[in-house]
Amino acid sequence: MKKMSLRSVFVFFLLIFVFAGSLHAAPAPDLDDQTRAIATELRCVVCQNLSVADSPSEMAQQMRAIVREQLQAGKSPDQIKDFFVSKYGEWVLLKPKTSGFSALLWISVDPIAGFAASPHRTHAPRHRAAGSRRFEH
Amino acid sequence: MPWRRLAITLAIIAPILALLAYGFTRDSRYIVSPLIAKPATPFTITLYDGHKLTLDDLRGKAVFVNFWASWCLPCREEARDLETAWQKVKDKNMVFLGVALQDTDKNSLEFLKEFNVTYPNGKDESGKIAVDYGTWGIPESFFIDPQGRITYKHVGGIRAALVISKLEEAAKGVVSAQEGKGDYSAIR
Repeated sequence: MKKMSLRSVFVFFLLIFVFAGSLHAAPAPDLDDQTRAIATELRCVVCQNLSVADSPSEMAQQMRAIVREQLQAGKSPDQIKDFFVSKYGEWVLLKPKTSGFSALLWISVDPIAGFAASPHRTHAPRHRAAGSRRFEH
Repeated sequence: MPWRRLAITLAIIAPILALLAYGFTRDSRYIVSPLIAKPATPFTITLYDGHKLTLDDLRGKAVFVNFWASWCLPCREEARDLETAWQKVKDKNMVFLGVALQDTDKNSLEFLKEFNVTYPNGKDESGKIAVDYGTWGIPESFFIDPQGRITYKHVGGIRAALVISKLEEAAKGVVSAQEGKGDYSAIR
């Protein structure tokens, strides 16, 4: 009985240790980190070739403040990005969604690259064929 | 068959060249607004005379909202035109509202005094109103119909005649198919 209770105490402390360890291993992302992560995906409307996270402009600072405020209000990263898209269009996303016309552009890259490479491929067999005919003679 | 190869090459290159040529005709900085024909985001602004003004209070009137800054050259160029337009429509069911951006109170007030601006003006303290209206250039003007819907947007300096005609359209609820464009400065 005494042995049994000692084992229970050991298991209890082990569970506490594991639980505390798991809490320590996966901390909640810091608000600054979350703000930066979202701001990295948004295009600065002033610099245009910089993200909102990297731009030193006053407008980017204001946009970062809005991101932070919306995170504090409990909005998800997607909701925050959708907010900026509703104001500036998909242009504001540094990585546009692959739908509609942009999807067509993404899809058309491979066939165009294939076409561009094809003349080199059509040359090769012709030379080989000519060479083989010469060999036959 | 060389003609076949030529045709294939042209079929590949022509659309790419056409796309490039189209790109050269466009202003790469221009951001097309998704807000036209959408409800104007409500906001409250503290005016330079100390009063507070809420957009919702203006429901039932055609509203002209102009984002400006004293350091912006096109804003200076349009300032007299805006006051002229205001004098012509102020007795109708129309309202003008100036929203100063990224500016000091001192410079904004000097600007209003210099151009003898008499319509209400206030400051967008946090820049939130500017973001809510998708502002990226300055000046930017928005026309809102009596139901609170954005009917027209003009990026850059605007003339008095256009302000009046677009306000008359807004009063009737007519939504413009395209945005207008004049000389503008990038915001900071």
